[in-house]
Amino acid sequence: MSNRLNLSATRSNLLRIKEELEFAREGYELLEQKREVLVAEVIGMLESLRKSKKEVEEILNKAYRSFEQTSVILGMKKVSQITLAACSREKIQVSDRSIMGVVIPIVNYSRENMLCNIYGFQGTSASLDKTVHLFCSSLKKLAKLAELEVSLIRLATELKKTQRRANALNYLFIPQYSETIKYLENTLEEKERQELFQLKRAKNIHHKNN
Amino acid sequence: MKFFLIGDKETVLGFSLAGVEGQVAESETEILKILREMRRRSNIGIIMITERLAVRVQPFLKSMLLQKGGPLILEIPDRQGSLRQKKMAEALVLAALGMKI
Repeated sequence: MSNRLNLSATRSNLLRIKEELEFAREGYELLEQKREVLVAEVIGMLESLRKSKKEVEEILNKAYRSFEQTSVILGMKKVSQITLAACSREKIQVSDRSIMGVVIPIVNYSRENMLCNIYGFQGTSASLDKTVHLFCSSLKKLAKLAELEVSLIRLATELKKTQRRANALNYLFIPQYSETIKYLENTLEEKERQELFQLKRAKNIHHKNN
Repeated sequence: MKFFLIGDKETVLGFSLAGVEGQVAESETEILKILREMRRRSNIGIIMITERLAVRVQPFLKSMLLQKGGPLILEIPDRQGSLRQKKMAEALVLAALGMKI
């Protein structure tokens, strides 16, 4: 209740606080709008994220299992000797977009040579081909997941901040200013009444003397 | 731009079959060192890190994620499967919304 600011009861202070209140109210409106947009974006993206995550987990699971098989068949040493380093012609393009001031990425994954085996058929096995294929296929899904996850994390963080600020305005500052205005107005009114009373009394005394 | 992976031996090896460059790491200091180094390389678009390693450097990852510019960070499960408790993005969203979707 006694949530008001400690200011002296002057007209200029009253005016000032009224301005602050107006400002806070406008600020709150804007933050609410921002919050609504962010909530909509976040909810929309959450579903896509879950789907993408599931796809990634599935394909990586398969890839890891296949990799285990391959290492059993060929032996770890042989597997370590085989890499597609020379063949990494993938292109990840990351660009930005902005939602309510939050910069989130757009990832574009493309790969020139999907099949690029530089190891020979000799001394390797179909299991290896399968493993290579699985890991290669996972990359596009991983790129998509990265885009969604980073976007969602940034948006959710901003949403939380916005919510907190909106709440601070709505539950702290606006009531505080309102209380202060009430107090100032009452005090000023009382002062005015006092002055009037003093004036009347002075008049009466003056009359009596005449 | 390309991927870069930080993980355990098998994961790095597996992804190298697909042409992904990676580095094996274990301790927190090693991981942080690699992250700082890779952040400076302009040809890396996405840094993947296995969840098991990611939990050791959570605060640093989070700060990297929130900066605009610089590589994206992606946590991936290793061959032992996904850690149940790790769902940073979802947990953040639910906390921000204050409800379950």
